[in-house]
Amino acid sequence: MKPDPQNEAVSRRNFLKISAIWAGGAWIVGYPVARASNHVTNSAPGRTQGQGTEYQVLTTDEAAIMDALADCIIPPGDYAGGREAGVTLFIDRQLGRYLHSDKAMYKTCLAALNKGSQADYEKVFTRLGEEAQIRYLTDIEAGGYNNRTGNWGDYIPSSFFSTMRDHCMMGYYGHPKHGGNREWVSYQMLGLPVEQVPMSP
Amino acid sequence: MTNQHVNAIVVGSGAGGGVVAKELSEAGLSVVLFERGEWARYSEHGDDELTAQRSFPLHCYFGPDNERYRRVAVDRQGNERIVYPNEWAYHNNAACVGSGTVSYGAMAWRFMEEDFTMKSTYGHIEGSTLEDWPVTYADLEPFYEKAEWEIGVAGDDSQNPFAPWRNKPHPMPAFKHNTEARMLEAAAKKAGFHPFSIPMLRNSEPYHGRGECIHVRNCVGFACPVGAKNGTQNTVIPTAIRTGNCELRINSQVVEIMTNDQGKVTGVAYFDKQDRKLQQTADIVVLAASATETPRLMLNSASRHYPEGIGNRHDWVGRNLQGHAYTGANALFDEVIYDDVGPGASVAISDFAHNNPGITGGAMLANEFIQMPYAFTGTRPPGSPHWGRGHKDFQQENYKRYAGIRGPVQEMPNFESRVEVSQDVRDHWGMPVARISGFKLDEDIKTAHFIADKAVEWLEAAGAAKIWKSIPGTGVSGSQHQSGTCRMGNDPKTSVTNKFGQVHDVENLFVADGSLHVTNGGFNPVLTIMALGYWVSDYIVNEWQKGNSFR
Repeated sequence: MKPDPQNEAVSRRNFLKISAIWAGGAWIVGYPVARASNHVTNSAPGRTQGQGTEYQVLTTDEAAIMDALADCIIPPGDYAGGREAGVTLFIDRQLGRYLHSDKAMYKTCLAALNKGSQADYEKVFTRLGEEAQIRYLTDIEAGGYNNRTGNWGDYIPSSFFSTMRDHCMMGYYGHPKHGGNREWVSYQMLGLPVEQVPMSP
Repeated sequence: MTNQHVNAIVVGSGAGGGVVAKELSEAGLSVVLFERGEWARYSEHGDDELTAQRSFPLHCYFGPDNERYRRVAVDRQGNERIVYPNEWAYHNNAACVGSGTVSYGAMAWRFMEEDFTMKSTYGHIEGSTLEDWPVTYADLEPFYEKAEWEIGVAGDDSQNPFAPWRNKPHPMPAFKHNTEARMLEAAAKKAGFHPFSIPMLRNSEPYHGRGECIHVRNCVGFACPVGAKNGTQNTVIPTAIRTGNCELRINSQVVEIMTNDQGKVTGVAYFDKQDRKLQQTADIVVLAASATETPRLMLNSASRHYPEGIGNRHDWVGRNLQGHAYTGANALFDEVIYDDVGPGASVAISDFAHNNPGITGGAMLANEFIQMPYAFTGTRPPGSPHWGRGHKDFQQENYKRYAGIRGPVQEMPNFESRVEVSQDVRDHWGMPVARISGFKLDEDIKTAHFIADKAVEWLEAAGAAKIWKSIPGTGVSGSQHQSGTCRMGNDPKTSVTNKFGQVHDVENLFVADGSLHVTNGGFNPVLTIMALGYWVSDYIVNEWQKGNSFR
């Protein structure tokens, strides 16, 4: 019998209901709300509003900058991009937990990065088009921006980019219990079943 | 609180310590087995790649924690920095009951005969302290066998013409290959190599009351969901506890080896979970805390008798730190070769472990364990985009078309690669932390290039569409294969213990972990560490039964 994609989506949804995320010192059962998305919506209809989507470390403005970054690092397409996959929520949760030592860096660098595009592009980063955003980030990654201009404080723009890029990868490909990889979207993209059954070669 | 005196203390419950605790308690000695961590459980950790033991960017579920532990890493320019357990430069192993044997890949290699006689086989290597072991393969062979049968290994040496001789076959049949390994097996034969199924400390059939492997992808770096991977935590340690003679004392960080006015060891000082400093006395102390933590403990146990640290009269404790210079090649194939049958690594060749013209030693080569999705983001041909659409497309297109061939190149030990104790950085309990410095010799990098070229040959024979090499850097190796820091030897001036792991000038202090390795083979070292655990125990028990209580 061929597997019914609709049934698969339902069983995946049931599975996700019993997964849990650590938030603010308590285990919250459930999963964060996913925004509308071509792929994920089609495969998991009838989603209910979940819990735990409020940011705990990032402000709304910072989260918006992070959302824009996450979509540059992992752009939307056939499968959700970084923003929709919950990369920002992952980073927010981890800045309050395992990655707490990076919190001050994010606070400074997100703002600095957003404003830093004004000199060359006359707009803040979040208002740039996709192509300009990518060009700007490519420059930052290559060390094209000096922290003596702008409000980067002691942080080096290229180092921030490198760390933030890695965190986006963790958020997109890691276990959803940490806040990202919403509905295991990256596993869907790679064609990896979430639930493994006993097999032999 | 006063602890009752026991016959033996074992510090560390990993591959060596778990075996020693079982052997001594079965022989009737009262034993306390110290473990700084606690029990690791699949039900708690599951398939969380971000806290697993293979890539732990968030933290190390299998321990230790970033709050209480740190080390100092020194680069080749002498720059020092504090590093935490979930950074690669920390050279983490694990800190839980069973240590690395809970989450390891479980390859069960015997070293080859030449691996015990490297100096006489290859001669002097410039810059290296290369030496023969004081024991031979023949000495250890019965203890390899004991490890294979008591802990449980699936394998079949009949397909490996380079395997060292053995008296008894493996207790379980070898694993069959998945789609990728079958393809690579055929390619190896085409290239003229001699492929075989990797011996594994994993059940290919029910063994000793536990079930067989179910082939999940999250194997290396993870606990087993069905207990089919054999570590000390589910074999010898439970046996030790069942004797009634062994107490496993978890959450207990040993910080000092105590000695009396005569220089005899009297026991250890440790901190319990509540951070109370306590003492445990014993007739014998066996150190099996890893090739980083064993020398650190010895160096932190200076006294009037041992002003430079216990066993360190000739400045050899902590020297010769080595791991493996991992090398190999990666490949993309036109067709999908991934079938989701874990753990991945199963086909190997030993053709290039020795007898390579102009090369010292060598390595076995094997296909890689399945890379989990986050780890795969770091697997790219040179020049590939690491973010953006190019990243995502690569990930999606190639995750199931990737194979890697890798080998642990045997490193030439050198005196300057070492574990010291820091003069200014201390851990949660106020003890000086390990300071790790050193480098690989040019000889190691030369061997790594040679072995990587063989991996390329193998992948070319498999018809790979794109191949790129991974050559190791020149930094010091440690990490999960760390070894060599309390070398065994016959000359007390150039080694730390005698051939039985007994510290030269301290009769009742023993070492039973990878620290003893004179050289580390071109193979994963865990079965050798287990065999040494049996070997050291055999000596202690024989002496004990002859009436020598080492007091």
